[in-house]
Amino acid sequence: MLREAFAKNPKLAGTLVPLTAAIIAFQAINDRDDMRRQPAIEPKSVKTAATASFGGAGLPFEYSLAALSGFRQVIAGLLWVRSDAFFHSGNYDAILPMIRLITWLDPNWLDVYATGAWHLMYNFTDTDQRSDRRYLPVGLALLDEGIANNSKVFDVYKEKGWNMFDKVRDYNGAVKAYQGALANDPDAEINQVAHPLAHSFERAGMVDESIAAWDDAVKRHEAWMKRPGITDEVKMRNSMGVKNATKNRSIMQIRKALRPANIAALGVVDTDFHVTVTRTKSKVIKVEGTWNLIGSIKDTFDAGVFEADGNTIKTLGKGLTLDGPVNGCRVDVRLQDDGYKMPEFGSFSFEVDPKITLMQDIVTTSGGRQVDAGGAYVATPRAGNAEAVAESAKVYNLAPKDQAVANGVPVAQALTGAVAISPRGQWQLVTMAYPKAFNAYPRYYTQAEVPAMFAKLRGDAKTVAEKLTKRNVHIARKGLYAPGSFRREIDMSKDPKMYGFKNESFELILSVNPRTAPDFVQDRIGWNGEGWNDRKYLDDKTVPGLRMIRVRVPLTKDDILGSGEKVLFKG
Amino acid sequence: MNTAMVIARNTISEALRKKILNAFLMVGVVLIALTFIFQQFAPRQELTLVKGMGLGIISLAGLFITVILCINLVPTEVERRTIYTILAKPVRRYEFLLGKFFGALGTLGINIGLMGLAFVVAVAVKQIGAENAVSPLILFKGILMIAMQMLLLAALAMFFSTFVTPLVNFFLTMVLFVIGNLSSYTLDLAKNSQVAIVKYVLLGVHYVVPNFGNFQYTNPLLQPDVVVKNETLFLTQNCAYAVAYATALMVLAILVFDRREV
Repeated sequence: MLREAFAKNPKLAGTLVPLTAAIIAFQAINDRDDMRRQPAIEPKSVKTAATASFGGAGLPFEYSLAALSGFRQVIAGLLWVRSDAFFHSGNYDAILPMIRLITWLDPNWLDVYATGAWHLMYNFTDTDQRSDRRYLPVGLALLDEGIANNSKVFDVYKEKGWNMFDKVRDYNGAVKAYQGALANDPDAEINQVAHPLAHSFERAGMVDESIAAWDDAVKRHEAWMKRPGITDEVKMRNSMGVKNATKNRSIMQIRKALRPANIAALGVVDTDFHVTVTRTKSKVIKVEGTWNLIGSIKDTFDAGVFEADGNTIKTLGKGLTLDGPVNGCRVDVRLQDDGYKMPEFGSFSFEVDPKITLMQDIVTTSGGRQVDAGGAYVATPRAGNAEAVAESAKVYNLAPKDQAVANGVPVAQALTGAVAISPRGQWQLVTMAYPKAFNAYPRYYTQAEVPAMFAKLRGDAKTVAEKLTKRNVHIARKGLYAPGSFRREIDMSKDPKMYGFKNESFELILSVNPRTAPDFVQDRIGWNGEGWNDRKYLDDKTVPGLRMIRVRVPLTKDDILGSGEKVLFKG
Repeated sequence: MNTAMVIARNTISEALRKKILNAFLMVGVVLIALTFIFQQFAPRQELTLVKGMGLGIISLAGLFITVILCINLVPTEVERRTIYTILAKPVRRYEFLLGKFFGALGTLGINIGLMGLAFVVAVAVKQIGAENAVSPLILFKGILMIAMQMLLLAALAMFFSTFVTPLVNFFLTMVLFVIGNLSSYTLDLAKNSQVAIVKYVLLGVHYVVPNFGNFQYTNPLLQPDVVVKNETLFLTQNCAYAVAYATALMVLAILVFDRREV
């Protein structure tokens, strides 16, 4: 029929020749790597998504067909909606294959990498909410894949930077990720990238680089505000960014100038770290210990005077003026297969090695207290955190056992001469009775101001009653000092899937990293632990330039799995 | 050509009488509803979902409207014997066929245009107040690609309708639509094949079957940060490909229909 038709209409049939040539030519153009086959239009991973089967999961045939037939975004969207439902029902395991498929189907969907990495690195936990850290390299591999697929956009770099900073606590890695964001995306959100870069530099111990990063952030904000057509909201956000960056730069400059001088003046703290590790029953270990956690007392750090903008430093202050036991520094506790090192994965796979045992927890140090003879304390039924006003006067709460040691009298009695009040005690009472305004400079009374203020207090029965007696303030006859302590019972018996203990030997590592210490502790001991020492456990070799406290306890399988109470380490 | 246009107008009004526009109405409602059902997600994710699903629904609705409309245009006239009345008048066969084809294209244009408009408006409303919002008008690029894909599909269905029954036509068109979407993979298979005959068969499939996958342009519209190389060339040459291939199919359809006994 067609031959007859061609013969009857040779002219019309003849048009098919140039049309066919045009079709082949257009198709040949389209087959070029920089046309249809460019990753922006047709990523290679779509084919993988449609054909791969992994871990018992894969796309059903009809989904594969739809994905390959131009509906891959629809399939990706449906899977994302489904994974959200799984998330809300707490079925995190089911989300991982979804994430794998979605990132294959749509490798440019940034939120999936961010949310996926968050699931992997934060949401897989044991019964006591300790993260399953075996997933950390998996999460990082997902982010690396996201960066490779979206190298010109800051978002996934930012996610990697944050996860490195907050979860992995690899600050050099965080620096690298944030620098990648700034180098590759001129529109990177400054508050989300340049600011955490400066913080990462600080945590990595690179003080000058941190100050330079804050400088750079200020310049970037200012340049952004000059961009044409920006909205008021963007302008305001960058204006706030300038203020924050300027303030943070000032803080870094203050710390850089004052911390070494303060440490030189006050000397080195002997941390005197002690720890006892006990197996209380099979797979349950108790970690407890004491150490001298010394930091700057609240509101007594003299930063100096700021310019009218409140952000730029005008005159440097004296820095740390009063130190003593403080709360809040954490001890990292990590139990792992002997010699375990976090692996680097070349590509993302949500499978983790079930043979690996890895537990990490943090224990907060608290309860350090100090009272000098003639100094003030608050008598309380139970030891606990002091009120802010007492804290800023270095007045600690003492429980009955400590009260017996201090053997003090109520403040009203002491003021009548029952017990001699020391100059420091007088300063403490004045500070509690007449607290300084929040914007006063300095925030504390100088020793020169105290005699007059104390005389005023003696004649001010109402203030004594309301501000001191009512708080149960006492004056000690004898001095007392107790170090900070930490204690945690870690139960790994409830999560056998996470803690398989398949190996024969393990190591329990307790460590305190000065770079992750609160700023009021760093003010006393420095960024890198320059201001502390420990006769037994100071470790300045694991990370060059960093003086950590680190205790490594080798353990056997029997140490952990055995029954009955057993002291595994005491030192 | 005036005759063909008269037939085209009649085809459009006949199609509209078949209430095919109801499909548009339904899809339009779904698209607007889409902008509200993903509110549990963060705004950026929500917008990605709305755009992805929206373009997918337009594409799917377009696919079914095109196939169902085009497989029936000629056979219905033959079945009802109304074609004799038409061809008894001074109407040439090719004018009848072209009239039907242009009528189908007009109907599709109205449907896809209205669905696209509803979609763009819905996205624009969704983006009110959003920061760094990309103009919703760029979505028309995706809608244009869907329209071009449907133009080619319509021509294919019209070509088959000149010599096979509607049922056979439905399966043929749908199968070729799927194979045409997989053309990129047939090319990969051809390149990787070690057996010469398999390689050439696959290359033949790649070049002969209409490459419906060429028109997949959703990714850059969903992910505003994605940088597309040669965008203008990509869009233009795909439009040209669709027009050239559809013209070739209609030439073949005219040649076949000319010799067909009705």
